[in-house]
Amino acid sequence: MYLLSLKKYLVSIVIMISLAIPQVNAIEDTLFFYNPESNINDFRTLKKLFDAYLANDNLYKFQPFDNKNTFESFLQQDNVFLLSSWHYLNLRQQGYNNLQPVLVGTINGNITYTKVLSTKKNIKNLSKLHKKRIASSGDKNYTNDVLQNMAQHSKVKFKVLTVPKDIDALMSVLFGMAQGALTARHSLDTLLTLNPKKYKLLRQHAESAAIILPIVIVNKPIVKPSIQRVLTAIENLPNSNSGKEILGMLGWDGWQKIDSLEMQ
Amino acid sequence: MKNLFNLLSILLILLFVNSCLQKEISPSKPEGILIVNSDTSVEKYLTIQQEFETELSSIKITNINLAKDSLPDILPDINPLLVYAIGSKAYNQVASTIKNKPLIFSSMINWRRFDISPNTYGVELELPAEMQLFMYSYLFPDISSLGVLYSENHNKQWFELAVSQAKEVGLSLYGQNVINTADVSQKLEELLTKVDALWLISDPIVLHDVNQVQQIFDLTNTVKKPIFAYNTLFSKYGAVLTIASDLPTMGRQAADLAKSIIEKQFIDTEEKIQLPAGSNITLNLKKVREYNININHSALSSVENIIQ
Repeated sequence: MYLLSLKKYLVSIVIMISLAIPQVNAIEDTLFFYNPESNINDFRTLKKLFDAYLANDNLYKFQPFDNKNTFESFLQQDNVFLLSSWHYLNLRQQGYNNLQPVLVGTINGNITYTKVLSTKKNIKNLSKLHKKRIASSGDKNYTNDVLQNMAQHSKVKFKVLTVPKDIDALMSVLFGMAQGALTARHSLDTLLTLNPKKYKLLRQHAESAAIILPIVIVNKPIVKPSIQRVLTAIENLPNSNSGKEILGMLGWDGWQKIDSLEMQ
Repeated sequence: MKNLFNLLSILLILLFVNSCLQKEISPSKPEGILIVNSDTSVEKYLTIQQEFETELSSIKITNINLAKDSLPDILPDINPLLVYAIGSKAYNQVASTIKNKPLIFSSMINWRRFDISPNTYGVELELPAEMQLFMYSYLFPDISSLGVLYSENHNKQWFELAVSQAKEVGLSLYGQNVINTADVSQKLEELLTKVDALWLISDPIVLHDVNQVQQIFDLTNTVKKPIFAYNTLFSKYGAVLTIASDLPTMGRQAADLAKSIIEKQFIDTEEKIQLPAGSNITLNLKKVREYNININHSALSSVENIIQ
């Protein structure tokens, strides 16, 4: 009798699990995120906000990474990826030819921004910053790449201090924790608006070429209908308050559709 | 032959004893870094240590956890190039027992109360007030006045400086001097009639105990005005915004100092003891909505943690 009820119990558990499987599958698709242009120490909030937003369609989960190699190990999968355009172009050079950019971030309608190197002290040229500390919210490789381009690949070596955000980088140079700050032009504009006195203490020495904002990519061709649905959900982020909050955390305020030719 | 064998044996024994004695008596050439952590079970201390070690992965590092290990017991076996003390307890022990070695500190509340030698370097714990004021005006464009409860004994100079710093970002700062802990409620009620938000600062008279803190939050909540605080701990009481030093960045700053010392690079006097270069911001969106406060969405990229 006891064995029979145990058997019934086990059977019902198996049925319950099998019923649950399609639901688990439904959210197995993932939006992967990695962005070396920004330093996010704690992804919990971003993940929570994104998961809650994507849960409306019960389709996707959001998976951020702070490690490039781990992120890249998922690139062959049929999923959606949010990454920096700089990283995407590197991937193209590495032979990832199957990736298709679909959306690009915008700030005030622009798909590009620039990075500016500012110092507090007046220096004649960038060689004066040799072995000096440069605060940046981007990761070390990315920051060094931008700085080396600014220094026209001379023998100048920079020491990169990674900080959580652009405003920290600007404060670091203003308060002497770093000799230079590499920040987005729009972060300097914010400083100018909020504290013109502090802004005037900074000297701008070099500005990068236009950098395309982070992009959303997929593996082509798009076969799964769920991929198209999540792309629509991402595109609709600026149309809701919770979506605006997510974009705000990511650092841009809208999207623009792109075709792969624009990213060559 | 036998004598020769005996002589050789004695010589070998003497050589062995001598090598053992040398190991014990004469310290080897200085190498690596000694990290003395006040207590690695404290998450904030551990986070800083881990980041420091990651940055200096190519350098030999010896760890001491003062919650378990004894510094004097380990000292005879090591000869580090420099010592990194995490927390006040670690700093005090290292400063009193290890002389003539560069010493880096971090995670010490008000480092100025400790003995600092010319061979001391460090990263402060407290963020500059200007950084906090900047974020207040950036995130909350409609907030134009802030109130501060402070005791003149502890924070008079700080407050006077903060008034001018607040002006720079377009904020008016109003203060109430609290002489006695019992006056806090009355002073707070007066202050709240004049300001849009309360800025909670570290002051032992104002934040006398847990009940006092709770009372401040309850009173401010009844008039639906936000509290901005300096420590993430206040989030659980209902602070709308907390801005604290970013721990991993502090670890990286300490590592950078260590690298400069080891590589014998020149370190400016003003860089020897640095302010924290990174901040960690927690925003309580639930409270923001409850108090109906206007928020600058584009500033959210500067927020690390959001409470929903």
